[in-house]
Amino acid sequence: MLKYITKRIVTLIPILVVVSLLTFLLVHFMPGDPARIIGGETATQQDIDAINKAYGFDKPIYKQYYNYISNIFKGDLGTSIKTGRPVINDIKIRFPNTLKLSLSAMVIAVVFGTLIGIVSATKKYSFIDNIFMLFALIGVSTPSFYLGLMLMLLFSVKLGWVPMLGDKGLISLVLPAIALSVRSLATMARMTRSSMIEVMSQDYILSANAQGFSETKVVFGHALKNAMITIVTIAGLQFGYLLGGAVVTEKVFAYPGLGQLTVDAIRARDFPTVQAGILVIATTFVLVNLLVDVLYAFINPQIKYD
Amino acid sequence: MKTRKITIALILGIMLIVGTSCGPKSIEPSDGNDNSGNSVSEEVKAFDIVMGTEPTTLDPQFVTDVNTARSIMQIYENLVSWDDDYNIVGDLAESWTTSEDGLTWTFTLKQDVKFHDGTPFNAEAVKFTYERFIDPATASPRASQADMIDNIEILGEHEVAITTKAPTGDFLASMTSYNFCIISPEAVKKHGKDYNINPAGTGALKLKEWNFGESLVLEKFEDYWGEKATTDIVKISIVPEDASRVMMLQSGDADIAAGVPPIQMEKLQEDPNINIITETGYRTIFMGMNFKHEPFDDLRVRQAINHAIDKQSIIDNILGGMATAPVGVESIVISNAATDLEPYEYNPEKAKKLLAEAGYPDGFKTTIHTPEGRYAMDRQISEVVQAQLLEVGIDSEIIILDWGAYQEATTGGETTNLFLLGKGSPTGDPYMTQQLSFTTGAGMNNSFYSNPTFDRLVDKIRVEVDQDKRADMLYEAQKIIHEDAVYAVLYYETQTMATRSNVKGFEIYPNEMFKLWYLERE
Repeated sequence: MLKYITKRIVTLIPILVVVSLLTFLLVHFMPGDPARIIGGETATQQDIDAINKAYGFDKPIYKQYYNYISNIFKGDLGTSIKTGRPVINDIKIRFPNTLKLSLSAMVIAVVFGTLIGIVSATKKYSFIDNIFMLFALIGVSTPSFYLGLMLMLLFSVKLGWVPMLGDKGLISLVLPAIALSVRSLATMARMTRSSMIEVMSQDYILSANAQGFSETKVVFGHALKNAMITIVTIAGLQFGYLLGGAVVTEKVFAYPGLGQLTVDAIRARDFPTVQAGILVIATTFVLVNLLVDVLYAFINPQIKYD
Repeated sequence: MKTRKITIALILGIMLIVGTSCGPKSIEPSDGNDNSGNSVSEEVKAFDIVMGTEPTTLDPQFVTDVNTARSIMQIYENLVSWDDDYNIVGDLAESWTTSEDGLTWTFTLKQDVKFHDGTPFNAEAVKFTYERFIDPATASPRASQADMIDNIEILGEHEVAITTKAPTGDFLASMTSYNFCIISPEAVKKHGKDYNINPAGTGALKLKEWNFGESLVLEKFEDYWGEKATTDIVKISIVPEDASRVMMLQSGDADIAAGVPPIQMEKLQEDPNINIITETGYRTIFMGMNFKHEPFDDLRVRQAINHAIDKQSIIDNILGGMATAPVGVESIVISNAATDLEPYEYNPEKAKKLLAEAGYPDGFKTTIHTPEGRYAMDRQISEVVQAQLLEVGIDSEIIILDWGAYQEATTGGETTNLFLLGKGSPTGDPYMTQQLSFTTGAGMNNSFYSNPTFDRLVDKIRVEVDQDKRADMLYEAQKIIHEDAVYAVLYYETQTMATRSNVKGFEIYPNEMFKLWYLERE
């Protein structure tokens, strides 16, 4: 197992090199001149030339990439074109924030999504199943932007339970985590339900029932364990979506996360920040998928990697 | 039975989540109470302001956007500034004289002024500031604004002479710009590249802390030379979403909200706890026309487009009345703006006649480029213009681009025909934008307009230091642009901000700046 994990971590390096190259090319070939964006509306050609020289935009593209990638290996993610500050400083603040928010949303989505999916599967086609699946449909269809604003309106403005500004402690995390989790929760619920229904139609479940096991033991001891592979896979993919998709939620709740930083950087053509943001998200996503693969081996002992 | 237990567990779980999200009920805003994280007592006057974007830097020589400039202007000052009657008055400069040849400006500086780091403001600081601005090693993106400066000479501790390369009519106006704020030489020497996060100006407020991505906290500067700030602490929080800023104001989490969208105004006007503040601004929003592409090189077509657009309808229905009907290109609150030009009245019949005369009796097909989210209701306004132009036979397709791509399209001019844009006035004087927007080949001339008469006039204005003669020539220049219908000017932006009704002393200015120095809570 350790060998497998080591091998997977080593393959991270070529993956990230490819990601960095693709991102670099995409960002540099996007229409829009960063020098003009930095200079503003009233920038003269003289100003534009000075900016291009100062930031190295006048160098050939391969040289710019080479400088960029060699700095990455030295741990230097570059200087933000927009703020003049080292990019790493912003990443150090924003990435943990996004991670906190995404993990919180993930916990809500997995716990409640799985529970709802189990209840729906065991009460297939019942009234409660229909209600839950209706909520799942609404959850998947509701834009997180709208949901976030409505949550804020209810809990902060009308009820005054949750402050909107100030201390960014646990309380500040609740509403954005709920807003962000809903779509994933709905997806988890539906996928858990499908997976559980499929598993519970298997012969070994019939056999377990025939042997007189309690419903809890059958559902949690047998059915859920076998459905977990699918559930964990979906959860891993959902986490990737949450990491990158928190932008809208971050904007609505003024939550200083990596998504908002990256989107603002794209608008400003702030290459170093865009590249750093995407690299960090890509790395996290690859590591999460590695974790998912490792979990498979624990869920199903028949899966071996060595 | 077991599934019932699961359902109960689920409901309990939801209640737990909701329960733990309950903080203390927010205090009803009243005297001295503050819903932010700041601790408040009767004596400490703390305020919360919410803005849409974060300042990019606190080094004035690297500021290129209005939002950053607003923060800059809380902690820095200039040698001179505009008063409410559009006159230039001394700020850090006590007085000044101009040499007979118009080349040398000698400033007598205020005495007993300190920077936030305790070092004294003097002629040395002025020389250092402007030389750093011009120095190619600084790589300021606005260095060309100081291009006119030839030499700076220290004549005494509080006397400095600035010589320009040629007589420069808008020299003093340029000096009012936020890029010309005076900085502490010692602070720059101490912090080097990190000066942008360790600023030291002379303003009544200074930087206390900067929580990147979240907020800036400013506090009172006890050694300010002028009237000390009544504000003890102000926290500028970054809240990108318009609706969120408005909600924070309504809930009392914020005292002031900068940039309230027109669509939210009606709701706020009905709220007795909210005070709306509006001010006609420097910014003109217009439909540009690309002279490189037919038929926009035909004056009659441009005039027709001006007559086809119902500007008042756009102001009333899209902007909720929150804008000023246009006259010429320069907003009426800019010094030397030509305010008595004949506006192009809404007259679709006249528009059709002009198009027919120009050889387009059935109109023509074209495109309208528009940004989205750059200006208030920009895309919606472009759609209204599209509909109004269709009434006179001009069938246009809307093209929406993100700002970076949009700038490239408008400056390149290969693909644009009609395009929505805004223009401000960094110096508060028309010369800069008239020169940049309309002289042949200039940086902001996205219309690709070229008029040698106009170019010669602008050259004359540049070197005219007699303000009366200058004013006449500026009027003439604006008249040429207006009569040539280079733009279809849509409106002058109204700045809209809102405060809790118990907050006083918040002032906003036409140049999109505001002052947080003298806030009071009733």
